[in-house]
Amino acid sequence: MTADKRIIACLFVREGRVVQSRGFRDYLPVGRPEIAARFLDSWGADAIALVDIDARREGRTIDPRMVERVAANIFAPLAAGGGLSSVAQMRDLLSAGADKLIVNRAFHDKPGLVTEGASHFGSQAMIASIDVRVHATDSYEVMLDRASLPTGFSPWEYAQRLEQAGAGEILLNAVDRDGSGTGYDIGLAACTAAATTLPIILLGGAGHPRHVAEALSAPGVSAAAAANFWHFTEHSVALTKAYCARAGVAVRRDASVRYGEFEFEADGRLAKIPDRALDERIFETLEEDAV
Amino acid sequence: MSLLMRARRPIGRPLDIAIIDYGMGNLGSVRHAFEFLGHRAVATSDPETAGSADAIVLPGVGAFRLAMDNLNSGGLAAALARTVLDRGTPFLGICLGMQLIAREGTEGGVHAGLGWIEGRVTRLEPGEGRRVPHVGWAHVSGAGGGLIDGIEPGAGFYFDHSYHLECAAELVVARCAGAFDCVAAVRRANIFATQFHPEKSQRSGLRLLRNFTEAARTLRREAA
Repeated sequence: MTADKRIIACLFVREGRVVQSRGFRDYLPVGRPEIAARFLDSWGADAIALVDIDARREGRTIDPRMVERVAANIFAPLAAGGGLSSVAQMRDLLSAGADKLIVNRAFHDKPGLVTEGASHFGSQAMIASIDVRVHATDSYEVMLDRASLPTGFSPWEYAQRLEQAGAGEILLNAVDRDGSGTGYDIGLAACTAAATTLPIILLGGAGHPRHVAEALSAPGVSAAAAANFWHFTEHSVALTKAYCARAGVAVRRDASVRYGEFEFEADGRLAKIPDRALDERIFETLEEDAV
Repeated sequence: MSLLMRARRPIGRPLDIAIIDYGMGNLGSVRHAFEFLGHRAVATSDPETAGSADAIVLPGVGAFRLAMDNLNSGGLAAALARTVLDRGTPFLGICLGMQLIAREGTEGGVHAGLGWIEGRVTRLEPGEGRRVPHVGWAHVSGAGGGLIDGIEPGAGFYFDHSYHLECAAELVVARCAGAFDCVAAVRRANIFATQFHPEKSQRSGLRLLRNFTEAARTLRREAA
């Protein structure tokens, strides 16, 4: 038996607004996180990850009130992170409605924090995010501070340390692909997954539904995450899931929007329905989705 | 199809749901889900509030032993037993809340659970294609003791756990049909419990919670 692979929507936040990020350098505003989360949830995202990407640098933690607003708008698992450095802060986020916590820099500065968090809230609540840069073919290094500060560790060494520390999942971010839309770094996922039994969430590079299908087909990848890719396309998650299902990748498709019978263009967009088919649909009643 | 989901109004009066607050995880999501369905939900650690509720929900994530210590410390465990076992108040355990009703847990040594059903909680075994913790959406097989009525086949539910319940087959009303073959739901009379998180399972989860509240309404009517 195989389980459905997950598709995760990341919301990266600056100054309280969701942004699209390119190369960890350029940012394009999207909108309010609770609104983005509500739509992504109704489109069938399997989880939502909310990260304040300025918090660490500004010496603060992600605002629990923002986490609360997002949590109150969705019925999917919510992970939150940004500047976490104590168990008390973690508890604040969980009380605000987060199910999981995302730590990145904190593990490097204070490895015991992941262990402590896991003993309080369980390993399943601890997601460790690692930013990885490619130096040359098959030469990867874990980076800190928006990929500006090298650590000297390979992602597989880091993954093993995280597993021993009690992390429950690894969010593996290929920073060279950030905002590129050129596809996921499947090789990075494979060599990291081989070093750990933890679930791997792969992030960075989604630009076409095909990329998501490829990532989910790769051994060791439990989930494909994306941020920019979901914004500014109606029903983006549902469309991608329809594409994956057609490509033979098992994904959960019980959201109210599905796109089962639609065709796709080469660029991953929906193909136009023939005029005759539209004529037949003019008086079709679509029922409101009421639970 | 609408852009965003809405809930039908409950048929009959809204129920008072007591969500047990014993320091183990996210209660807001459970409360939010019941409120979305039109019921009144309150997070409480007060035995009297729980005792007068139409239904009791025991959510929770975290360590088995810490959870039992918290339930025992304020006399909450004994009060819940009186309400659920003696008076028959409908009960829903979620995730850790399902595991706690077992006789014992084995996380970091053997610890006594609430003991409402015969069973023990053991660690999931990792294997080919089975990473632990078991995180993700899975289909379930079985009728869920009425909890899954009207939910389309193939609907997914969200699992997130490292331990699972082993118990007698007659108590099991749904099994996980994903990577792990574990107990997904149990029922014994007025006691319902799910390993997965209905409050995190979007439409299917909300429908399941509605089935629970309707079952609770029926059970209360029969008892009256």
